[in-house]
Amino acid sequence: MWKWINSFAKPERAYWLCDVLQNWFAGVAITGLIIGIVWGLGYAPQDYQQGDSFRIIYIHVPSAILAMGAYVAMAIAALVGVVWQWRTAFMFMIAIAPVGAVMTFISLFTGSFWGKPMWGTWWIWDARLTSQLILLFLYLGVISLYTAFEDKQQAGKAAGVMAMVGVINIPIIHFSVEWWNTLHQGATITKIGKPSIAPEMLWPLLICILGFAAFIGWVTIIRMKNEIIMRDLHRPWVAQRFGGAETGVAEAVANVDGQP
Amino acid sequence: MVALQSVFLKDVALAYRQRAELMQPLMFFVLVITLFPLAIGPSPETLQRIGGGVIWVAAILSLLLGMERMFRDDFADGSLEQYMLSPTPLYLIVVVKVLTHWLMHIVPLFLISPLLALFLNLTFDMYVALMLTLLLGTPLISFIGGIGVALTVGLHRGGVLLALLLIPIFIPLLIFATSAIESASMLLPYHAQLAIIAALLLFSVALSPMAIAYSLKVSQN
Amino acid sequence: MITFQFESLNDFFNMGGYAFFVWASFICTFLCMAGVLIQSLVMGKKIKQGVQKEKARAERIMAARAQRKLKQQAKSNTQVLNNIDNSEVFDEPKT
Repeated sequence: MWKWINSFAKPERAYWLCDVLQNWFAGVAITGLIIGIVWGLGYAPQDYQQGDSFRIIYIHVPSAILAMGAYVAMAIAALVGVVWQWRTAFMFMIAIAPVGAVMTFISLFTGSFWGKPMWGTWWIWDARLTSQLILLFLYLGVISLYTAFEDKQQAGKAAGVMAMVGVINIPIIHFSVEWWNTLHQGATITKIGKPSIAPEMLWPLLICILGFAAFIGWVTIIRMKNEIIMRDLHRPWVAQRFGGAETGVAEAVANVDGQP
Repeated sequence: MVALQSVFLKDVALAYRQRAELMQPLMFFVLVITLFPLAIGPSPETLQRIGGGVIWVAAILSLLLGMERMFRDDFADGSLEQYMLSPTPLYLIVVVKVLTHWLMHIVPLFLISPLLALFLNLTFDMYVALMLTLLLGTPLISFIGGIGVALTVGLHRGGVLLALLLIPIFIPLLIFATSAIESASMLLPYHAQLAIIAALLLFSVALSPMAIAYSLKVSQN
Repeated sequence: MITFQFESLNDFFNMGGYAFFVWASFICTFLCMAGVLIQSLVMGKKIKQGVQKEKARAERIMAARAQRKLKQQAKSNTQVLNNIDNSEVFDEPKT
């Protein structure tokens, strides 16, 4: 079992796995998103307090949850990469980072568009909004550190350290911001999250979360495949697979030798 | 032990000889704080209300400016490689270097802070709270900042990137420190905030030297 | 159990008065997601094109090298032949 897992440290195995999983993720993502969003927009009952504006929940909550989830996944990949020296783990890390950043961004502006009709303002320094904003900064930090290095091997390790530092910090940041918020704002904000959500509203939400998760997986797989090819450009297996430089050279050499 | 002592003495001597460079972040600190009364207005109540936060923000920014010195010269002249080759664990050398750096940067900050407290019209209680939070918080900044410096030391232009990486991580510290000062201004106890900062400090002292040592190895490649 | 919640399509687009907020956030989300997806796909395509280009370039180089080699071989062959001719001529005693 361990050996089987370890085999994915090799780029060509990881590429093969990506190929196998890609279409599954794409299918789940597209169907999940379509079903969840149509159900949520058209068929879920209205909220008795917020009317139809609550329908933003079907993109806001999945993106917010999965922005955190993607960060944790990134940090786990970084840990695997640092501890077991997997090149593919760093590739996964840098493949998921931009996707997670986009999710964080989505959750921020949907929160803002939801806050305007509910709270009457585009932005408030609500604890969750603030920690989400800091999460976006953490993502951007990891990405910019990675791009700053020329040597991508080094870049992966450095960005990995940063991702792990960030993931240790997320709970601290969240706790501190919440504490700061209660200190400053008191109970002026009417909490949007209700204690219980009706099952007719919950089902489409769960489907949307599944769809978003599959979407993140799908895009990450695409990006990871790109990353693998780019980093292994001059290895024989890439050449064999995509007819890269190496086979070209090999064939040409064979031709020359074959000539009388 | 001898090795650690010599690292310490070397860093102190270097810092002493580079006094002028050491002074620059301090000047920056004072200048930033001078800007606030000019921008916001000189009314004593306003200044008192924002004073703690302003000093903390300025302290973080100025420490970020001086942070690069922590490993830059050692990286440039190759002493870092010698540290890695030496039988003394890099972990301990890093701790000594970070502490020396903190000592060299924070002592001037402490010396100048009564003046700034005066500028910003802080009460005596607020001043005590400011000192205590600075005493506990600045080593935390040095230790966590050390990770960022170790990561960016090999880059040609790592200065701005360093700030981008580190500022989000300092946010909890800023929140607790300023809230301690605010509590002090209302004559409320602020042990809780100090305890949390101390806990963060101990946590970072335990873990960050490992991260710094690993990052230095990555940077050294 | 599951019914369409709106009286008409117009109602649906109106979203109970929150049309701007709801539709703006859904459309922006869609654009962001499509953007990151398309960017990734385009990047992949470019990388693969790059691989192909590299291959074509390598083949061109190798072909040119092969041709040069052949030419040289031909040249040296003729030279050898010439030499042989010459030597034969040279060797023949002209007395």
